[in-house]
Amino acid sequence: MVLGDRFEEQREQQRRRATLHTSGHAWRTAAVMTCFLTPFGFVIGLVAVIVMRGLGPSIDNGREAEAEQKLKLGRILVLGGATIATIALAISVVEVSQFLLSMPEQLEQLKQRGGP
Amino acid sequence: MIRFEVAPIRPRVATVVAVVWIYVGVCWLLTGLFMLLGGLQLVRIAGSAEWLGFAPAFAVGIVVSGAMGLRGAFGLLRLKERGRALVEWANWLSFAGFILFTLTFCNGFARTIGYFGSSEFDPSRAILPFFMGSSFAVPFLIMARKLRSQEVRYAVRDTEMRGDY
Repeated sequence: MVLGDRFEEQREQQRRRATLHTSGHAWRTAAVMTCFLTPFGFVIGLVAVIVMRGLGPSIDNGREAEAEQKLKLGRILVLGGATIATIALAISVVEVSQFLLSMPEQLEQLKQRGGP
Repeated sequence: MIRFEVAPIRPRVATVVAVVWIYVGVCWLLTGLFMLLGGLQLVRIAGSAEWLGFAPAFAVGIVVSGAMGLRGAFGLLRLKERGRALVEWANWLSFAGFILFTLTFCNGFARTIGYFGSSEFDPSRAILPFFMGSSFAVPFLIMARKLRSQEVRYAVRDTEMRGDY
């Protein structure tokens, strides 16, 4: 005999809301970090933070669809910021490597010109 | 409309610290590696490592704490005890590193060489650099303390016992 679970739906809803809360915390923190660490991050991160404003009350008041929409938009912005940061990081790595490798050569040229 | 306040799956502090360390870990790992490579190149050119002072030790500290924090952050997101411990250690190491760096810098900055070659320590010159350096260390102390909280430890224990995530 299979017993019906009266509270299965409520439990599922609670679980969904808890997951949304946790995702909200993660993406909002990522948006703040984007603000500080990404080129143009102040614009992208700030917009992401503004977009995700009021996420907690939306979830708690049962407006999960609205919360998911905000979270999706915030996530796209943060991932866009992360892409820009990755490109900037790759360019920096290449530039710094070239600078480090050319350092002895540049010093030699400086010496020939009568520098230090 | 009925208002239910639902607790998040993962404690908020664990999520925030893990995400912060993903960003900081990547930045520090790359910065430290390039500081070390740059130092090696400079040593090769100058022929001596003496003048670098404590900079290589600082770079190694940055690389180690960055790697520990980054590795631990992914574990902490899955609420693993190993991840929590790694991030906590990365925080303590960063705190100690920043304080040591600040004290060493303050010692050099506040010391003035007299006319006859004797050096004097002027504490008033060290106050501002000390507070500026310490302000970088304090967030790591707060994060380390928060990771030791009952809330995070209980969540980690509960997840490991249930075996989910």
